[in-house]
Amino acid sequence: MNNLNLSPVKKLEIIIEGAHQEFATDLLDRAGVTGYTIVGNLSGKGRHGFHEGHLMFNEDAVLIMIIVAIPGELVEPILEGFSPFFNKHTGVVFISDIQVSRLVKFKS
Amino acid sequence: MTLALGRQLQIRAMVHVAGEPIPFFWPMRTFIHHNPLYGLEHLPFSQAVREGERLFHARGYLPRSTYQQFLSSGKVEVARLSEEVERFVSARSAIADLDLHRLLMTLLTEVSEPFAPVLKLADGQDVHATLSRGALEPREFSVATIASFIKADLPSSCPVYTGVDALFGTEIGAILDELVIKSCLDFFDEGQSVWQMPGRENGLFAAWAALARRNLRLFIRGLHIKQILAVDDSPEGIISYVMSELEVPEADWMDYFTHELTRLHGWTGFIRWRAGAKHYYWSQTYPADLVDYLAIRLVLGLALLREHAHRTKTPASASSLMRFLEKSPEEAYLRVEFHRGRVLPVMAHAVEDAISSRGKTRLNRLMPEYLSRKREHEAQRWASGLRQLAERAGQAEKLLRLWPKAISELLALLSQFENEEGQLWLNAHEAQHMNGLLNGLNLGPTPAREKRPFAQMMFCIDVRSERIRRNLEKVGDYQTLGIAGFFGIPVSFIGVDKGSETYLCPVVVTPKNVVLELTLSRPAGEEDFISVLEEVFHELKASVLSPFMTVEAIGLLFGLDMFGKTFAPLAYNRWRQRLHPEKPGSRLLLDKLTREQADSIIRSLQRAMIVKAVGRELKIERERVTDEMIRELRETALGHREGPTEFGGHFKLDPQAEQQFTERLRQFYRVNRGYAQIQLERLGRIGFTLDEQVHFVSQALRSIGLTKGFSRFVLLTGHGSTSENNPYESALDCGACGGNHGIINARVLSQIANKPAVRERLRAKGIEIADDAWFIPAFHNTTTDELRAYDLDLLPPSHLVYVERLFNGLKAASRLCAAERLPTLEPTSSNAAPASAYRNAWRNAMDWSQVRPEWGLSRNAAFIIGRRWITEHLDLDARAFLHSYDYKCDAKGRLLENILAGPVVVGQWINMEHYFSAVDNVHYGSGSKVYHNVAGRFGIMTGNLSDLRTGLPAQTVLRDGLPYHEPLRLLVVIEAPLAHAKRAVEAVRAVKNLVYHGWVRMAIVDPETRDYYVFQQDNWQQQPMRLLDSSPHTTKEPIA
Repeated sequence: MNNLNLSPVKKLEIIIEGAHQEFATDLLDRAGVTGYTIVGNLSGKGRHGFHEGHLMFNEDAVLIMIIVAIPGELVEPILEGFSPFFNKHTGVVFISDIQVSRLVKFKS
Repeated sequence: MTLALGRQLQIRAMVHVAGEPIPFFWPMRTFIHHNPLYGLEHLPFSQAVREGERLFHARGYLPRSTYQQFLSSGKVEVARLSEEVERFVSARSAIADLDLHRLLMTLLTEVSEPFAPVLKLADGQDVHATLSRGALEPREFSVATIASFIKADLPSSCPVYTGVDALFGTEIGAILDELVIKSCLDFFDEGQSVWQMPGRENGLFAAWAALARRNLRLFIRGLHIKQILAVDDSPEGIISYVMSELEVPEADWMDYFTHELTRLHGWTGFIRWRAGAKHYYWSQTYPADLVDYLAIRLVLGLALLREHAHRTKTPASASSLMRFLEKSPEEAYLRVEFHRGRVLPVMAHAVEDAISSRGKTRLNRLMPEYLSRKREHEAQRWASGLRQLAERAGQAEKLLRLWPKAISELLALLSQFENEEGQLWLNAHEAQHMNGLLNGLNLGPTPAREKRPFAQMMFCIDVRSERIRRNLEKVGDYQTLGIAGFFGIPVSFIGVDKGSETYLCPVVVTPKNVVLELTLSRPAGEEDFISVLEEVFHELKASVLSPFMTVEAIGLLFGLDMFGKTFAPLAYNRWRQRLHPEKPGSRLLLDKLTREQADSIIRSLQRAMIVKAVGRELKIERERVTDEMIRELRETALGHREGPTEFGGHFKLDPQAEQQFTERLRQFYRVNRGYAQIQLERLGRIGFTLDEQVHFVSQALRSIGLTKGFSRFVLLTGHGSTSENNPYESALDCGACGGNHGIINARVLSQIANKPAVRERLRAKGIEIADDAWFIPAFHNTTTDELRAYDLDLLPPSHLVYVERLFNGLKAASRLCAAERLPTLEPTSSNAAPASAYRNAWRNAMDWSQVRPEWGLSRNAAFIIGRRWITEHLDLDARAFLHSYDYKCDAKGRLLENILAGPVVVGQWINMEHYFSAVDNVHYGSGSKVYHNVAGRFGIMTGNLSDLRTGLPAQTVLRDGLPYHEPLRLLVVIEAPLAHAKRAVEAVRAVKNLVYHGWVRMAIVDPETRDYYVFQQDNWQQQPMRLLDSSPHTTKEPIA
């Protein structure tokens, strides 16, 4: 482990309704994010009660999570960008410190 | 100037949110029924309707006079209406000794025009004085009061030019819309226009800005667009700049954007949809989004405002507009009165003179007189309205005894009542429909059959299926079942003659599996197969170029077509069918490819591309090249070998030319390792795994409760329509298949269900399909009522002896169905014999000039989830979506959840589209087809230039100017125990929201307890109902 060169980056976990996936990924793309992971059909409990994440014939209604690792300086612009959206829609963003071994993959 | 990244993103998000109230508009080729107020579904229905009035200036309920006709024709019962009025009155305090209930009932049933009392200048005191024939006491209006009138007329979130237009009679808004539409037509054109806008690949804003900077015409009109565009290159930067130049406070931006975007909501809806449609060829090639569009609107709007300001000294920003209003509110008041057409006719001249003289003294002199006469006018209007109403309601004396305060209260109450009146009528109309339907249901147990039915036929839930199902059941031993027309299997389809994917499933789903159609005519296979694949990979989307027939595109042949179709549709079409025999039979590729197969396909494709390259680049024919040379070139291009090739030597290419050719193969013809990997991934999308196949069949069968007792024939019937010269043809097709014909999904599921390996697995899951049961895809043509079976060449020989009986039955049902349907289209043919009705239906489908080939889904009103038995004895008049369901096959309720999340949601979109197109055809619908022109090959405009017309044309929902489609919210009936159904509704948030917010009405009928529950006034209320026993019925009762 010692010879691993780890760099600190930030991880955002954005949980929103599937209907808004295009909006969110477009915003991330425009922020210069190099990649992200999308997890669909989330289950869990929130202010609106329990969300069942099983497959359905309606992808707009399910919750998704977009996971993205970004350099620290992008956190603020991205949150600023999302703010008008979250003023109207439900959803959450978790921000955490993580480390990655190949920093070049997370910088545009 | 460059905006900081965060700010840029923030403006994007603001525009995105601001555009959300505007619904998507899909290209007409696949017409998607949608709720025009989809963006407001988070609000309760009545509130959303009011918001729709504000945003789209559209009515959300039928006018009172139409409801009064419903009342006299018995579609609405007085008793129901009276209950609604009682509920309204009981929630309010009494006004003196007036009989409010009677007064309001009189208003609803005897006064045809709304009264609309809005107390502005006149008050209760004035109305009281007028009623008692006294003079009005003199009164002065303060400057602040007048300013408050103006502020209510011109809210700060409205675009600045609407204020300028209202004050100065300019037409900036109309000019702006026209300029924007022209720009949109240029950019979004999909091959209709001869001239192509340059630079479209750079995106809407960039392409437009490049042209606008050099647009001499705009410059000559005095629009200095170049200066504005010089400030920033990005649309976000331009938006931010224009908004600050307009001096609109940032807190109002979002509302301001919404107002801008709703002005041409058809275009906005199209751009919203297109920006998110990543698979759409035109949006991939020529990207555009709302930020681009808004930036263009704002730039043009600012330039127009400045040009007017320069020429006529009108305000050019929100704050200068505000200063004008604050400085001279009286002038502003008179101007708005005059330019909005509200001025008192007797004083129109004087007002016009005063505002055009711009002299303060004249205005100041005129103002007190104007206010006093307007006040008198208002007082007289309300007084005479009240008097007439009270006289009709037999309360004239009571009215005269009222104090001024009580008159104010009464006017306020009437105003509130008229605001809520539409909802009251709707509730009463729905209550009657609901009662009729629920009372007719038969909740008894389905009687056991002695033998299995001759055939089982699954139909789409579409309301038109009800009619053909009923007639089939009448002619023979057919068991019919209802299921969403994509049969629960989302398919991305690539047809023989298509180069693009078509999604065959509800639009809320993205299919993961691709199904390829391969022709049987050339069994050598490979060439054809490759040509299909080649088109997919190289995205030669030829098919998207021919959406509608246009005169220019078809030329001479079209002239012939036009002649034949107008004068002799049926004979002509038979002749044309002989000219163009139907395309040869085909098979669907449904199974996943093995790795070896995929590799082999990619190799063949690469070889085909090399042959093409050799011919095109070096002019060397195929016969001069050997297979070995091609193999070597391929290996070289893929980097598996290096050095000169035999091919190069043979044709004497120098090393540099050979190197160049190899590069060309890699770059242009995409013979390279990276692309091969992408091809492999794409091939991986083709077909379904065995697990997926078993899952889809089992889910489909379980969801309709068919798990045993399979017949010899099981027909899966997709549906679609055929009509000529009808841009709305797709609106008549299957909504569950994304506005396409449903036959492909039927073919896919049949082919899967007939596979022995699938049946074996199904057996292990408890679904016992008899060995002799054969699934046959079929197609229900809703314009002609024809039922046609497909893939009959696959039928086992043992079944052939029964085929004749099957076809006879289908044909008989088709004829009966046509005979029943035709009188709704041609009132003169009410007694037509089935055979001749059937012929007439065919004729309609082929008649070029037919504006109403069929009524489509018009009059849809209910969605019933349950056994066919509960409705089998009823004539539902093609007004109900029927989804078969047996809760006993669905212990966890998951199947019900799926029915609610998919089919019910699609049904609600269809229902709301019809509802709003019927209540306000001008704003929510698309007006008469007669004036329609195809715009850019994706939409419809009225006349030469208009907003894109969304919604349904008058010919689909109105007859003789009155609603043929009775606008009712969809009544969803679930046949299941209360707890079971409630749990499923609660679990699907989208549907729960629709029910709780009144976008659909819902009833649960419990076959175990025989209780009925209806969701109203925020909870489930048990309803007393007449119970039917389960004795077999002989006659079908029509339901109102």
